[in-house]
Amino acid sequence: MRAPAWLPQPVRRVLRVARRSWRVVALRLENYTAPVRRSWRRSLQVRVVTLTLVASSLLVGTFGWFIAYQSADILLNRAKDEVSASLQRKVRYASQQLTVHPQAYDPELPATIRETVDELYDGDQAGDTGTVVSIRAEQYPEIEPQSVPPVDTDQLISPALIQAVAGNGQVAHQIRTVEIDGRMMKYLVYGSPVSSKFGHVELYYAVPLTTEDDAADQIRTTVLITGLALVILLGVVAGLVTRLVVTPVRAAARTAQRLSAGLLDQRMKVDGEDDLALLAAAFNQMAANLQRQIVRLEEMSRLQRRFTSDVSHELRTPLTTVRMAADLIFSERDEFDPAVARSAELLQAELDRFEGLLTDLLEISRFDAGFAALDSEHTDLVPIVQRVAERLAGLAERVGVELELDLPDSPVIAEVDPRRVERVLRNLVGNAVEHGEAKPVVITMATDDAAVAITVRDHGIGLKSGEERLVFNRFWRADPSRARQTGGTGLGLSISAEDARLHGGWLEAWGAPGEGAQFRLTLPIRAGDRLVAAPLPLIPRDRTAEVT
Amino acid sequence: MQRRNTGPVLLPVVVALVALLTGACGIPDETGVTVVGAGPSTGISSVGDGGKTKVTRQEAGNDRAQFVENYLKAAAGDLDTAAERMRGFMTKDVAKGFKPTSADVRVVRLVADPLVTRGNDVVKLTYEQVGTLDKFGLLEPATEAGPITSEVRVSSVDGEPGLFVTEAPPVLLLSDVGLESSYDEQTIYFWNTDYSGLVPDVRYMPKAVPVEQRPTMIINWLANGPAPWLSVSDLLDGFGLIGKVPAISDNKLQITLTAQSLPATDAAVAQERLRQQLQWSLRPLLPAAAELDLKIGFDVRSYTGEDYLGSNPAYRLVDDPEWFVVFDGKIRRHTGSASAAPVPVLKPEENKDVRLAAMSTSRRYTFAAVVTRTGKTDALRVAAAPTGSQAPLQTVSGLPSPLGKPTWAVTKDDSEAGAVGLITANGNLYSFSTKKGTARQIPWTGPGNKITAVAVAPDGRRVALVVDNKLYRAALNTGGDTPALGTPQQIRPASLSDVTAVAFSSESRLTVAGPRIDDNRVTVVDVSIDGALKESDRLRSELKGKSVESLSVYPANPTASNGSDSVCYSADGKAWNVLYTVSQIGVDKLAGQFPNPLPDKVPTFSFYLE
Repeated sequence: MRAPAWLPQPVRRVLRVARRSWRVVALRLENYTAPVRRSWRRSLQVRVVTLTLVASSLLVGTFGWFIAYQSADILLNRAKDEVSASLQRKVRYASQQLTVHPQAYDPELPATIRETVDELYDGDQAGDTGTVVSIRAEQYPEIEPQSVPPVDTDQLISPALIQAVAGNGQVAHQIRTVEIDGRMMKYLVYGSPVSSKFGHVELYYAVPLTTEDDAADQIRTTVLITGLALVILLGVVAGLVTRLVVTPVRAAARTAQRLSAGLLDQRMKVDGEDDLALLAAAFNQMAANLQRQIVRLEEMSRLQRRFTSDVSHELRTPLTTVRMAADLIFSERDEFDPAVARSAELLQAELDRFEGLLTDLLEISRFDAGFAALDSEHTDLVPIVQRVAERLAGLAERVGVELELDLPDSPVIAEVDPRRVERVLRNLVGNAVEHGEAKPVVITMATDDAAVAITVRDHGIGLKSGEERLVFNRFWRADPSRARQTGGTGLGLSISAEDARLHGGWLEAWGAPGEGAQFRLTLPIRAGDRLVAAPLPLIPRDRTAEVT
Repeated sequence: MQRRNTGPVLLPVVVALVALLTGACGIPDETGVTVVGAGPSTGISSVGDGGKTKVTRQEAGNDRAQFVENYLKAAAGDLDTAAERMRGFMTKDVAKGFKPTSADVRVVRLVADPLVTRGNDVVKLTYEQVGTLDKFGLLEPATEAGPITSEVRVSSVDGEPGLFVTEAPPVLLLSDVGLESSYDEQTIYFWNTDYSGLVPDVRYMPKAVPVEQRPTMIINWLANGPAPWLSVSDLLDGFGLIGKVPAISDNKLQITLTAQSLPATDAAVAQERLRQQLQWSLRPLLPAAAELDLKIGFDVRSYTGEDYLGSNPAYRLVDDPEWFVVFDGKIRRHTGSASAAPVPVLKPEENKDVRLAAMSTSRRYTFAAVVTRTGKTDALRVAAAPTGSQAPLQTVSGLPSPLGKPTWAVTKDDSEAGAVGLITANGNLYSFSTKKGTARQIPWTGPGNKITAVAVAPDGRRVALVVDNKLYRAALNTGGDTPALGTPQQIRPASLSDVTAVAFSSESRLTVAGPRIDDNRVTVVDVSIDGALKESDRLRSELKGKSVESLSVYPANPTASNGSDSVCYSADGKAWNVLYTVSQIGVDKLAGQFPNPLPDKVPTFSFYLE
């Protein structure tokens, strides 16, 4: 927070320094209190106990303060009442005694004042209560102040009190702590003018508050100790109660963690019939249901995969027979009518497709069954890319697509399964050529210490938003109407993604409508390494340049 | 995770705990001044009497005689500062050296005006001593009178106005004029030894003492005890005042006494007595409707009304007494008598040959004593009867002729024997009872040997006597088997060379008769009980006849404002009445039936039923 601009510069400077220091202190504090805050965040018990302690200290503190304050007030008021009543009696007596002096210059007056003070002190039935009675005549300097016992009352009777009593003629009181006879004592000092026929003198009556003070101290100590004990007790109780709740909750959390880790047979212990037992029972019920569902789904999935695998295998044998027959017919097609010859050609082509489809299905079911194994070896990837490009050059030429290669000059050695990498690249490049719309397809490869990346860029119709992920789904097609025109089985990208995953690599897609698409295959140099970054961007550089 | 800010929650907690721990909620060590309310209002200052009685050095100017007279008044007032006031008349050096030998004031009466000699600083004083005045207002008559001659050197100092005393005797001197002008007579009272009545004790209160301080002073006098010549009951040793007696407020006078002021036993009776004593002693300061609050220990009692008045026997004295004359040997009522009833006590047939008589009443009885003369022999006969009835006269034997005027001292109210009679017989003092019996001589311990007159105060405990033509006073103690006198004190009435007759004109005043010093003419004058003061304005007309043989005065009630109006004397065989002028009591003053023809005689004696 900045200091307002209207403040003068020095003030703002000071404020700035203060703010900085505060930040430093706050930072330190934050560091020091980190463990505390962590436990505050993590432990419900700590929070409940802390809040209980805080709330109860607040309440107990407030009540304790109130009680102590009230009792001290009551004690003091009682003392005031007593002293006030006594003072009134004394003033009455002194006033009566002074009625015999019509004039202040009466030589007997000091004697009367002395006797009066003596009598007032004696009349106090005081043994060693420490009271002090004093009569002063501020308006008559020739009359000496008289005090019994004869102590120095200059400290006891403050000038302010004298001013109020002698100057303003009021009854007033004050609490003073002064040293009398070498002892520090707290006094309640009352002063009142004493009327006489010649004016007024002032009577001061000081009563030690030792008893009241001790009592107030005792009450305070008692309240403090009781309050502290109460707060601690409340904290302990809160801790115990919270523990009662938190322990089963923690057990539930642990059980849930184990459950989510796959230990489906974990169950909570059900104790009694309370809410927590209900929770445990419900949790167990849920766990049981989940387990059942999961087992059932797994079973179904297994059956489905097996079915696919079985069907693929079973189809292969008749297909081989059909293939042999078809091959024979195809080789003899020249001897047939042109129409039959055409059918033989169609049969041959569809059988090729059918065979490819079966191969892919078998490959997919191998992945699903977890039988796919990586046959890694140190391989130079550059020749692989070149080979794929050569193989597809014919097709590219047919559709009018130019293949451009941007490969490193030096070999790029990585620990990969070359057959699978080649299949992936063939898939990607084939796709690009197919959807290239007679525009160039660029194959780029780059490497660093940890990874190698190969991107395949086309400038075809591109991908719509959200299709980057869908392209890897089985049998997914961007435009279902075009399905028959292009010869893909719909499983190529799925298999490619599985191959990349098998390597511990990534296969990602980017595309924008009208701007074409780019696929990037990223593979670790060493098998089993974890990929952190790719040497090539997913979004093509030329596209970025166009945008900016 | 959302971060919680715990600051707002923790802050009050910390504050509350810190407050608890540091004791912010206890009794504070220091507070400011808290005003409770306005103080009591200030009273109004009354102007004291002090100013007008004080004389100053410069008042006399350069008149040396007047200066010395003023100097003799300077000691009046508070005794502790008397020397200081006298020093005010002196030069500084002399004042420094002025150290009075006694703390008491010597009251003197100048026999002659101060003698000033032209060209001489010394002023000669001739005085006689009247007595010493102590700080309890008690004037003790002097044992030696004088006259004494003293010298005071008076001179002026350069550069200072007026005169200064440059040499003076080291005594606190106060002239009787100063005593009269600067003091008020203040009677305090003590119970007699039988606790049957109060006995007055006359003191002198300086006029300078503010009226508010007088009750305190009087109670301190009481605590100090009675005058030495009186035979009365003193208060307890523990009697004392706590604090001062506050001025009367709300028509109340509050007196706080120590708890030891009353005896442990019979405290109620003692308190009743005490309050009556106090009420009588404070009576001039206590308005009639005022309430006396007596606080002894924790017991507070209020007294109002006038029921206390009866505790002083002198209060029974009426304004208009029963007045009798002796005519032709018979007691007859005077026409000015309050009652027209027959002569009390005496049976008519015994009312004869009477020369002198005295009658007194207690509450229920009337006592009569008559001196009859047959031939040259005097006889005393007495009778006592319930008031209103008559009794036969009984002879008292053992008295030598000639007999003086008898007098009664009433000692008990409810007894036929409740009075003691006193009579002078052939220069001695005798006592007699109310019944037939032998008179007993009361030994005289004072100077002189010829007792010629005796008078009993209304309280019956004090007597005044004339011995060798000198006046004495003494306490009368009737407690023992025989009445006895306390130590007599001579009192010296001003201006009389001799005293021939005496009577009490009130409880604190005497009426005396005798020749004056200056012209030797006989006069009747009222003097104070100590002789210091005399009633100058009530001086009786001077007698043209011979010396006064007997004096009958009906004393004034102490509550009356003026003195006695009932004064008679016998001289030259005739009875005289003194009111505003002296007039002989003629036969026209006789009440009742007259014998026919009227004897050619005049009343010889007149007296009052006391």
